[in-house]
Amino acid sequence: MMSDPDRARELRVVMKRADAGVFMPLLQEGFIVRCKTGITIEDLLREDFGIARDYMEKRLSTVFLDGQCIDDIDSAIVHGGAVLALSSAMPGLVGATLRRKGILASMRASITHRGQTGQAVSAGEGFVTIKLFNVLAGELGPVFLARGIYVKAAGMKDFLQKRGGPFWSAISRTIFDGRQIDREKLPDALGDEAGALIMLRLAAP
Amino acid sequence: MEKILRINMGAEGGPSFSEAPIGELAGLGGRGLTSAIISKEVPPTCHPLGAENKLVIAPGLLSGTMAAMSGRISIGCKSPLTGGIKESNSGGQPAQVLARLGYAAIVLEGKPAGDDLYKIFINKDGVRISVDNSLKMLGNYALIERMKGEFGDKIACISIGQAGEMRLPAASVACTDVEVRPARHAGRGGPGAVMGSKGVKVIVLDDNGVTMRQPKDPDKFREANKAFIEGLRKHGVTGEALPAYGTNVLTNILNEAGGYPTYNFKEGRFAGASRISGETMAGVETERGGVPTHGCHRGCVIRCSGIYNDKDGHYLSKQPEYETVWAHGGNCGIDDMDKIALMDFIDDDTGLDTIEMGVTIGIAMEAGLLKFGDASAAVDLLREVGKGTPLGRIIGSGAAVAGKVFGVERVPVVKGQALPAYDPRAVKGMGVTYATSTMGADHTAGYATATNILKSGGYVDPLKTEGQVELSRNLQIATAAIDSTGMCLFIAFAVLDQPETFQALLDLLNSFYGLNLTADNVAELGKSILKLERDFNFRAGFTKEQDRLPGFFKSQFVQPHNVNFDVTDEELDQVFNF
Ligand code: SF4
Repeated sequence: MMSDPDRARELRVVMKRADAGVFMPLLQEGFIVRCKTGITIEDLLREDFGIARDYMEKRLSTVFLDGQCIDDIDSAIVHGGAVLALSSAMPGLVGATLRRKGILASMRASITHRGQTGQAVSAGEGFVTIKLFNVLAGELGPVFLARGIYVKAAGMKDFLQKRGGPFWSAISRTIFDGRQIDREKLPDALGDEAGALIMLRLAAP
Repeated sequence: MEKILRINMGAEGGPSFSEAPIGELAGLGGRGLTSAIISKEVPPTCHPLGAENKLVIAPGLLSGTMAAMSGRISIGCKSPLTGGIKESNSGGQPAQVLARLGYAAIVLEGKPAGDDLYKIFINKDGVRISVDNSLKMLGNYALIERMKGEFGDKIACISIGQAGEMRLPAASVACTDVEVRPARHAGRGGPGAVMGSKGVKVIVLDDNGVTMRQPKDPDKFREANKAFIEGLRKHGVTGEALPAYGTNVLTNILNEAGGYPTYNFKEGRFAGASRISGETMAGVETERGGVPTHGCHRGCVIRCSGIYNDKDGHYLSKQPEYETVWAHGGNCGIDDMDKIALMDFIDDDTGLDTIEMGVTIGIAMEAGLLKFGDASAAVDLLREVGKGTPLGRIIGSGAAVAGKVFGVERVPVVKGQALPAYDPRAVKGMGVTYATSTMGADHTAGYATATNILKSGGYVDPLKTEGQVELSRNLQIATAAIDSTGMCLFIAFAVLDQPETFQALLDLLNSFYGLNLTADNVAELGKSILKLERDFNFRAGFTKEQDRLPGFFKSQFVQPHNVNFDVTDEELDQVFNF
């Protein structure tokens, strides 16, 4: 059971935006964001996260909504609780097959997103899981991290315990619940309450 | 590349060799050449391990030249795994070296009477065949160290490990890489067993004193190569994703799509996928002083490979490819990257196809010999193969045999060859190719994606929900053509998206050989290769009934999308109607 994001404690990490790729393991695994829902993928990314349309056209080559391949990001609607995964162009026959509007799209017709079924989705606010894969983690990670992402406290603890020198040298300070905290003390401070969430936010030095 | 070297291992008085001009086979290279020789000279009904079978080793049309990406080698035979024709493809240095030595192909023929083991040394001065029984049952790594000690470290080697010597159907042929490590393999279909049946442990190639192959029109060739490299560098797949993360970049994507076969094709998603993804692997490699971006041969500008070090910073294996990580990873429920890399090393050392081994271990897990997720037990089981124990020989015989021995129903094979890393129920177009490929289930059979540019089977509307049969046909044709050039199939993405890069590829061929090939000619070449291969299989006794996926793909639905493989048999039979 996931706990209420509104009760999440905040971990602020002071570092250069350009180094945000060190959070790759968390970004590929998936994180939760509070955002507009009931709007298209394109509107969500552009209006809520400030990602340019041109960037989306050129870089978001492979997109999944709830595990289904997306061809049109300007018509697929993101509902509350959705899982949205973003990737650059992928290799191999299968990579070409999964690509948005690729010439091999028909080869994965049975897992292609074909619009909402059942109840209409109304616009509002909610929580969505985002996964950032490959080069997009480096490029879009800072956008989401600057705004704040929710991750499971247990996952964050595990992540921090496995990090080596290059990770910590990218970070100037860590602030937990408004107070500066030493990196050694941080994993224990996060606690391990089942399902508890941490709001991870990146701050410029 | 004007001559063919034939080595008769069964000649009276010991192995003998002869060289002859390429003659009527001129214009063929790589898979085009191996399949032409096999289909013409090998009786289709012969025993794959008998004297009548041949092992044909052919660099591509552009191998040994300045052309980027041209170092792939094709190894052809009648497959001991599928019983049909086989072309297995590998990177590494041998293609370049063999081509520079002037050989369009080496053909190993006959079968020695005794059980002596041979090594063959080839350089500019000729060919030397000698008995060396001290090499018996050496792993590939120890073998190559011995060869370096004997011939120096400027060599390229083609060799087999213990699996090939035991003539196991999953045995690969190893090719050494830039660092002279036996880390690149023609793995699929058991060519190592055929090399073993010929009594050849290793072919050592030395191109000292020979020069690069020269084009007919050097200026045009230089220009075309420049344009070709530019095209590869500017494309998102060949210029970014592959160099940064290797082919294993696909793990997260396939898992997200629900097309990542897990627990022996029982499920479509693996909870531990992100722990073994290309992104995670690249991070580990960098942290441990390995290399996340590395070419398998000189002249590769994409460099999708890498070096994977252990925790102490020592070489463990080359960066395992996506299919290997999947086969030993998610397919077996294993999310331990170090153990997966170790299994990659054991496969390479023993001389085994990584896909076949991972799928076979998954079947052993399903049968209860070991538990899904037990990485240490999987490593131990794999080691049995190199030791030659009865259990090891069963595992080294591949998934179909193991499925029978262990009484497992869900055995993911086509024509006796294990399916690779994409669930055909989620990505049905892959299923069409798996089912109908002349090679058995093979992900590279329809890898090239230049289909609409080649227009080899007409334009297919990308947004149509049908068309998988047409696409699979076009892809198989295009792949057969690219496999003949010696080019790595990963060029296909840039060629697909950028017509000027495809043109640059044609210009490379034309300026080198003084030809005037068009896209249509390339498509015709691909078609003619497929026809030869198909005809061989037909004469070997194959019928359309072998162009099918195992029944469980129809009867068992896979999650999370709850889909099955529902392309009809009639549709599958349309693939080869050209
Ligand atoms: S792209 Fe990869 S497989 Fe192809 S030649 Fe380069 S290193 Fe080898």
